[in-house]
Parts: sequence; C-alpha cells; structure tokens
Amino acid sequence: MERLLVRAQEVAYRVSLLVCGHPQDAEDVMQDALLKTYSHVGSIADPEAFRTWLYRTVRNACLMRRRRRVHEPRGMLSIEQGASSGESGPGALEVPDTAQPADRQLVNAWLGERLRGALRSLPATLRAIVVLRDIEGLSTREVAEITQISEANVKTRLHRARTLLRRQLEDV
Amino acid sequence: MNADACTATMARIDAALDGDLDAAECRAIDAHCQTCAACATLVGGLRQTVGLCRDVGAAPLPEDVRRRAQSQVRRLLRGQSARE
Repeated sequence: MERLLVRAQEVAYRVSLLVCGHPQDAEDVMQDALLKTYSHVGSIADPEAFRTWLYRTVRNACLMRRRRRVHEPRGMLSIEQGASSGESGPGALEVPDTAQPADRQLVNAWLGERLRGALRSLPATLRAIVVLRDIEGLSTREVAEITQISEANVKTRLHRARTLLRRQLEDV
Repeated sequence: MNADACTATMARIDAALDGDLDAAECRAIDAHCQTCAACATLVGGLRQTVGLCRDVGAAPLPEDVRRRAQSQVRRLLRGQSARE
C-alpha cells in the first residue's frame, strides 16, 4: 500500500512538473493524488485501469492548476483546446516560467536544462502527449484514453511533438 | 535521394521509434539512411530526442521530493491506523 501511494505521488509530481512546469503546482498535485489514490485504492481491480485512472486524475489536477495560473475567466478548458490557437506558436494555455531560482535549479538538475527548455517551448497540447507517451512510457491507447482523443490523433500529435522537440534541442 | 523512399521512411519513423516495426522494416529504414543524408539527420535526431525523454522517465526524482512523498504517505497511513 505504502509503495503504491508513493509511486502515485511520484507520477503526479513528474507529470505535473513536466506538463505545467511549476514546482509548487507539482507539490500540490502530488498531495491531491495521494488523497485521491488513497480513497480509490479499495476499488482497484485491474492494474492497467488504475494506471489510466491515476494519469487522468493527475492530468485533471494539472488542468485545474493551469486554469488558476492563466486566470481563465469562464468555462472549463481542456489542454486539447490549446491546439486551436495554433501549434507552432505559444498556445493559449502557455504560462510564464515563474519557478523560484532554487526550484528551477532542482528541476534542471533532474531533467536537464536543455530538455526542460525544449519541453516548455512546445504548445501544451503537444507537451502533454510527449510527456505521457515518451517520458511516462504509456501506450498510444492509454494516452488516447487519458486525453480523450483518438489514437490516430495521438499519433499525429506525437509525431509533431517529437519533430518540434528535436528541432528545439538542436537549436539549444 | 529517392523521394519515395524518403516519404516511406518518414511515414514509418514513429512506428520504428515505438518498436512497432519488424527487423526487416527497421533494416530498410537504416539502409535508406545510409544513402540519404537528410533522412539520416532527421531519423538520428528523432532517435536521440526520444531516447532523452525515456532517460528522464527512468531517472529517479530528486531525493528531497521522494523523501517528502514518503513522509506524506506515512503520515496519512499513521493517521488512518490511529483512527481504526
């Protein structure tokens, strides 16, 4: 039980940090994930379904944090809606890097400054896909379930994300 | 450069990166890359990028984050057993 809960928190911290980019948000999302996983743990029958549930829970918590950060005035906004603003420039959900220097240092030491910078340059809609698929190692089907888009769409976005990321890494 | 081979390589590169191609198909991509510098650069860059991402996914989180996660879990479980 303890191991499962710690693992859930690690997933929450990593995904939140990589998708949202804010260490403080990542700490909060980690705490949310702990409480939600703890209440859900009794109903876990299928480990794969639990994994999808956990990532979806974390993603939703990230979305809530993001909305607070960008002061969305009304309605619910999904990460996917960022795509409508165009994928080559900053997405509508992009937020400035407000991490404290100490936090930034900690994150850079773990992630590497180059990759952190390259990930931040991706529109949110693509960043979430590449984080779930290439960093977290989820399958295309799992990513489709979590982000609620088709598998074909996941593949298209993943290709775009990888290509942009490669270009960014080469430019650094 | 063979435009058809370049198109075929680009169409299959993500499947190759994801391990969804068989050995013969992977060899075809590699063979094409030996004769096409543009595709070789692109394929090499994408392999490195995906490799970098996978390394991050496999790397442990910073030690103090892991310690905090563990102590939060232990606090929660201690509180639960005290209530029981």
